[in-house]
Amino acid sequence: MDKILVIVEHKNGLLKKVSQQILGFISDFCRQSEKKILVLIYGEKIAERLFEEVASWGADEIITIENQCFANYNPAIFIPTIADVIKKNSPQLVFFGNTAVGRDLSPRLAQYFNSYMISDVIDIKIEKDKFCFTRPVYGGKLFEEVETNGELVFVTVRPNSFGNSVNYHKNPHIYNIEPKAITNFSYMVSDILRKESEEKSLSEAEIIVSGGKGLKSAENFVLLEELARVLGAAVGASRSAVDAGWRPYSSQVGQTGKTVKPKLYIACGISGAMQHLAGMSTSQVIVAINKDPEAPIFKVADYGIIGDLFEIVPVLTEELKKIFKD
Amino acid sequence: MKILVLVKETFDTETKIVLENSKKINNEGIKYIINPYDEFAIEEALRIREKFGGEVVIYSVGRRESEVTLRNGLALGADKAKLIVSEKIDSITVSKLLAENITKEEFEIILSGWIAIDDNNAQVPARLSQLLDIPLVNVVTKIDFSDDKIICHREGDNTVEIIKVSPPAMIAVQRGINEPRYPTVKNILQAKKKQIDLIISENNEDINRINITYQLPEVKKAGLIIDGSKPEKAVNILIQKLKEAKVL
Repeated sequence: MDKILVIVEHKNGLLKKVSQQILGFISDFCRQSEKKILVLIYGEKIAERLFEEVASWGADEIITIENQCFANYNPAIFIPTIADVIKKNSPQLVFFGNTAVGRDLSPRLAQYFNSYMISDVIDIKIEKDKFCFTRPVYGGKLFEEVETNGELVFVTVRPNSFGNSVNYHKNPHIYNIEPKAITNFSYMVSDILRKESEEKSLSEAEIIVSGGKGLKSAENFVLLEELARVLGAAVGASRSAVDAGWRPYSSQVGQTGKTVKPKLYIACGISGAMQHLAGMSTSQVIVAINKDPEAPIFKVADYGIIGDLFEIVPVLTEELKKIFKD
Repeated sequence: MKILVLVKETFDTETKIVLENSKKINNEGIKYIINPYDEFAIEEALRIREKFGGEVVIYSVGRRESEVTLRNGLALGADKAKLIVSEKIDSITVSKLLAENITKEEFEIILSGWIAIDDNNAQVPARLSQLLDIPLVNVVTKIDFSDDKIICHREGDNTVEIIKVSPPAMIAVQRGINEPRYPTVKNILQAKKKQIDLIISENNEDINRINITYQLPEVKKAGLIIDGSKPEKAVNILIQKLKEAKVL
């Protein structure tokens, strides 16, 4: 029987959203086919409720690597053990979220097995056992459709690409494996600095409020932070706002920044240069607030308000506060 | 210190993509640039050379004409360039060609951008490091040297990982690591005389076991434009629409 392996990530005892989305999608598909879902969870400690969560997505087998060595990501430690899991189970597809870990681990494993990898997938079509993956290239100006022929392929999925699925509970077979002894100490993780603020991760956020040159100063970003707090959103920025030193590089959305696909993207005072559009054009709904009616951002916006963001944004924040209070 | 920098030639970011057919992108009249992430890698290599001395060699795989683009890298200050001419530039082929040629070199560091803006694959650094059997630190925003170790800041999801590796090592850099310089007139003139070695690849093996086609995105239908001269009214219309679209 064909197998699909999903390598999931978790935080604070819960699956990361992108892992949940992949499992949901795969489980919808596997219900109508003969394929088996294997889920690999690793970590220093794996919370009990994670098993329930994974089981609720129709996993047939849950493989755990519960070990101190797997507390922090280190490719030199991860590859031998995970490669072993792949060898023993010979899945047809191996899925990762397109996250810091997935992006790094997946191509290394793909090379280890001399296999193809399909990066940053936003859609999957399945026809009679054939998989067709869609991924944006050239900054979203073109879509590449990749059809595989059944051999082992590694796939990373962009967060927020799949909607919610219906749970489908199974009683999976659960077993733990021990990490392989490490002989390679060439890559050492000497420290991990967590960002001070509980800053929301841009690439996983469902809603993003983003600001550009129109914000005029670093201080004015407070307006967007307030709006973001009401919406439970992350705050992004255009390249010009980052270049001006108003926001950190890590918050830049665009061709040389983060690529995001939230449910709702609110662009404030962003003109919409090609470089920015490359990072956000696959968002589900785009709202633009800009003074300049000619700004190219209005070409991609689903809803555009032509007006002064310093007048509009505070009103929007207040109105949303009222709604969320009810 | 000998530093190799992997450079990919890409379409200019402002390029409008036109398809010849579902398999081929029309490249008539395209303006080419160095992949912006690779520019950060060149800049970082130059800074390391300025500190420790040594040599910066650009490596690229691509069409013969990309020599022109590679000259721009030499104009920034790299010492020489090697171009492996290949029609196929998928990640697997490129990594293999680079590995075959780089194994012949003595080097301390390989630098590259962590992703290319055209194919969005981000696979070559990982594949090449596996083939060469050297450590790779991926998505790096800072490089320091201490004793015989290279200390990198690697971007995680909301974290910064401090990674230590020993040379020879590969480092794939992220935006934020530096501000690339502009070429000086003197360097532009010198670049004309610098050496670009052409290496003709004999890799004709067909590894196309997957089928790739292209599709242009559907043209988005025009959105709703709301007059914002009365903020309250505009905001109410927007909220109503967002509720209807079920995003609120």
